[in-house]
Amino acid sequence: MDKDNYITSYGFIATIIVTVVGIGIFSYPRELAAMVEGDVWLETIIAAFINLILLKLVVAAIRANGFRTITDIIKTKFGSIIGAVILIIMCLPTFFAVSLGMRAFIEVVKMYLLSKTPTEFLIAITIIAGVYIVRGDVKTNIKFNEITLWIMFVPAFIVVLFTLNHTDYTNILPAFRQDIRSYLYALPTAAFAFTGVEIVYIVLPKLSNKKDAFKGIRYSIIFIAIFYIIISITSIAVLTTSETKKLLWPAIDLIRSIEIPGAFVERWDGVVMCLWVIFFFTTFSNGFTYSAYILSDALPLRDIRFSALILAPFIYLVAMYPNNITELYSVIHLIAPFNYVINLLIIPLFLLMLGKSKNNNTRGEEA
Amino acid sequence: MKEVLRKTIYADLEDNYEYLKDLFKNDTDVIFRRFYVGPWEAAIIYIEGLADKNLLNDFVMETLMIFGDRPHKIEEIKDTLLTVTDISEKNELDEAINALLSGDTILMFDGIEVAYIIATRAWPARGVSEPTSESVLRGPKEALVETMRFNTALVRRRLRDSRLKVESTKVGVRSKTDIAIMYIEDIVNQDVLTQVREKLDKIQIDAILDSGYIEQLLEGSRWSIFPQVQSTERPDVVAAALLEGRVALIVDNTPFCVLVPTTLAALFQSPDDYNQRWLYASTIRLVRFIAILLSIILPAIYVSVTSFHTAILPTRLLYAIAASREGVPFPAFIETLIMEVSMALLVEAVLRLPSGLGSTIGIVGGLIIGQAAVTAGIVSPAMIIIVSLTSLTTFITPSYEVISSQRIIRLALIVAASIIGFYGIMLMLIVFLIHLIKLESFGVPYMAPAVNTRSSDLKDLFIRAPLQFFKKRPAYINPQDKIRQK
Repeated sequence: MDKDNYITSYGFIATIIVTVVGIGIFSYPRELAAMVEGDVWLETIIAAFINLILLKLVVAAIRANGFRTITDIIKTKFGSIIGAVILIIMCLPTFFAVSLGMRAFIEVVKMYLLSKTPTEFLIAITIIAGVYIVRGDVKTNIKFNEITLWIMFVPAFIVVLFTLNHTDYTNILPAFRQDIRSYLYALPTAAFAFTGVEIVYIVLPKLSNKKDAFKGIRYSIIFIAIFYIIISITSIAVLTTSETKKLLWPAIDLIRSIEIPGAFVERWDGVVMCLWVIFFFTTFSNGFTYSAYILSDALPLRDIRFSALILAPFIYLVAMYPNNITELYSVIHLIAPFNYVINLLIIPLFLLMLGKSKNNNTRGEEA
Repeated sequence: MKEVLRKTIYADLEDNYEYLKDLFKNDTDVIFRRFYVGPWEAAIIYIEGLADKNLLNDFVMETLMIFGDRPHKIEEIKDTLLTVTDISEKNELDEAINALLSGDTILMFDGIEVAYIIATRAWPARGVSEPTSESVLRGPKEALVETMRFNTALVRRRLRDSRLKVESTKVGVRSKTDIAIMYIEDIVNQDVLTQVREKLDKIQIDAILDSGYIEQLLEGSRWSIFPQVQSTERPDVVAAALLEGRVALIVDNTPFCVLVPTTLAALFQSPDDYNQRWLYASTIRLVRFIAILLSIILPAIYVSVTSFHTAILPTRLLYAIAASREGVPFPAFIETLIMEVSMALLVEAVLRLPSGLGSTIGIVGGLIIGQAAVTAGIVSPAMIIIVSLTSLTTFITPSYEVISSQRIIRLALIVAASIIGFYGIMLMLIVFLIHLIKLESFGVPYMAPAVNTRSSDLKDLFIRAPLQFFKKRPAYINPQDKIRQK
C-alpha cells in the first residue's frame, strides 16, 4: 500500500457508515412515522437509492478529475481565490451540521445523564476532544472509524435483540396506505438522514483500491439503510406508530423499554447513552475533519492543525446559538438541503463537466 | 565526555607498555606481566575478575614460556604456540584497550606493531533461573540472565537457523555496553532494522546500565503513557518475536530483552496463549480483555453511579450501596482516590520488599488497614470491593509497564467521572483511544491489528485461533517471508 493511498476498502466503508449514522437516528423514527406511519422502511429504501445515485455522481466527478483531492481539483479549475470561496461554501453546510448536531447531542446528554451540568462546559470539552482527533489528520480519523464501527454496531444490534421480547411487528401494517404526497414529502427527510456522505470527497482520493470505490459506497449505504430500518421498525413494533410519532426521541425510549429481569442495571438508557457518545463523536469528528481539511487548503493554512484550532471557537458559537431544542431542530432541517444541493449535486456536476473537458488521467485506479 | 585513546601500536614494547601502565595507574585490578618467549620480550595485560586466569595460565603462559624457543619468527607464535580458540589481531591500540575492558587479554611482543587479543572473558555470572515476572503454566522455565552471550545462546538454541543473525554494537561512551541486535535475515522488517541501527548509533549517553535505558531512548513518543517497546525476560518470547519479523535487542548486564516494534495487543499476550490448546487460550484471552477493561473503568463507574447516575441501578442495590456509604464523610471521588493511592502504595511496598516480608505487608495493608478503614467509617465496604476487584483485574495483565499505564488511565477516568459522570468516562476513553491510534512503534501502528485491519491478523487478537490457521506471519509487521506454515 503506498503512502498516499493508505485507506483500505474496510476503512472507506467504516468511515462512511460511522459518519452518517449519528444522533439523527434518535429522532429518525418519529420524523418518518409522522409522515408515512409504518412505511418507514419503504421510504428509507428509496432514500438510500437516491443517495446512491448522488454518490455515484460524486465518484464519477472525482474519477473524471484523476482522483485528485477535492481542494486540488477546485483550485486548479477555478483558481486560488474563487476556488477558496467555493471550498468554503462546500464546507460550510457540514460545519453548521456538526456544530448544531453537537448541540442536539449535548441536549440529549443533559436530559438523560447530566441535567445540572452547564451546556457551555459540555460543548467546550467535546470540542477539545474533537480538536485532538482532527489534529491527527485524516489518517487518525480513518483508524478511529475502523475501530469504532465495531464498538458502535455490535452493542447496538445486541440492544435491539433485548427489545425483541415485547415487539409486535404487525404494528407496521397496513403498508402502502399513505397518500402519494406523504411519501414525496417524507422523501427529503429520509434522504437527508444520510448527511455526512460528503466525507467521500476527502477519503476517496486516498483509497488504495479506487476501482472498488462505488462498491464500497454501495455496501455502506445498504448497511446504513438496514440499520435505520431496523431501528425504525423496532421502535414502531415496540412503541406503536402513534407513540413513535409523539415521542421526541423514540430510539431512546425504545432502549428505555428494555427490561432484563435480575439485571445489575435497571435503566438501560443511561448505559446506552454512553454508547451513543461514540455514535455522535464519529459523526462530529469526521465532519470536523472534513471542514478543517477543506478550510486548511482553502485559506491556505497548509496544516489541518491550524484550521482545526480556527474552527473550534466558531463551532462553539454556532452550537450555542439556538435558544431551545425546537429552534435547534428547525435550523438543522434548514441546513441539510443546502448540503445536498451544494456538495452532492452542483459541485459534482460542475466537476464532471470540467473534468471531461480535459483529458485527465485516472491516477491510482489500476491499484 | 568521550575518552581519546592512543591509536598507534609501536614496535617498541616499552612504549606501549608504559602508555598502558599510565592509562591504568591506580587500577589495582589491571594485571601487567612482562616475560620472555624464547628470545622475544612479551607482555600480557588483563583485568582480574573479568578474564579467565586458568585459561591464561594453562594455555597461554605455560606454552609460551616452555615452548617459546620453537618458532623462528614472532609472527609464527600465534599459530604455533597459543592453544586457545578465539584470538584476533588488532592494529589499533584503542580497539585493544576496549577489548581489555570487556574482559579480553592483550598479548604484545617487542618488535611488532600488533596486539593479540585473546578471548578470555569470564566472570562470576548468575545461572539460568526461572522467570520472575512472566511465569507461565505451560512452557519453558528458563529466563534470560545478565550475560549477553548466554542470552544469545538461549535464543539460538530455539532457532537453529543460519539466517538468525546476531549483530553486535556498543552503546554508552563510558560503559561501552555490548548490545546484540538479533533478527532473522529473511523475515525481519528491514525498515525497522534500519531504524534500530540508526537510533542506536545516535545514542550519546555516558552509560547504559539496563535495557530500560535503551527502551526509553528508542521510544518515539516520550510523552506517551504507553510503552512503545516490549521487554521480556523469556527467551521463548524473543524467539517468537523474531519469527514474526521483529528485532530483539539483548543488552549486556541485564536479564530483560527489548523487542521492537511492538503493539498494544502484544503487550497483553502471554506465552501460555500459544502453548496451550486454542479454546483454553482464547477463553483466557477474552477473560483478560474483559479484566483489563474492568480494571480501567470500575472505580470511575462507581464514582459516576454514586455521584450522578444513581437512577440506573435497581432500587434494592441502590439502597445497599447508599447504606454502606452512610457515615463515610468523603464524597465518592475522594473515597476512591484514597483507596487508589493506598493500593498503589501497597503494591510498591510489596514489590520492593523480599518475598517473605512482602506477603506480610500485603496482609497488614490489605486486610488489617482495609478493615480498620471501613470500621472507622473512612471508606465504604462497597469501595473495598471495587478496589479489590480493580486490583485483581489489573494484575491479570502480563506486562508490568502496561499496568502502570492502566493506573494512569484509571485515575484520569476517575477525575473525569467525578466531573461529568458517564459522559466524562466516555469522552476520556475516546481521547485515550485517539492517542493510541496516533501512536506508532517503529512505523507500525500501535493499535494494529485493530487498525489497518487485515482479516488474516484477526485470528490472533481477541481469540487465538487453532495453530493450523496461522499460515501467515502478522501482516502489520510487514515481514519479508510472509509464510509461516504450509
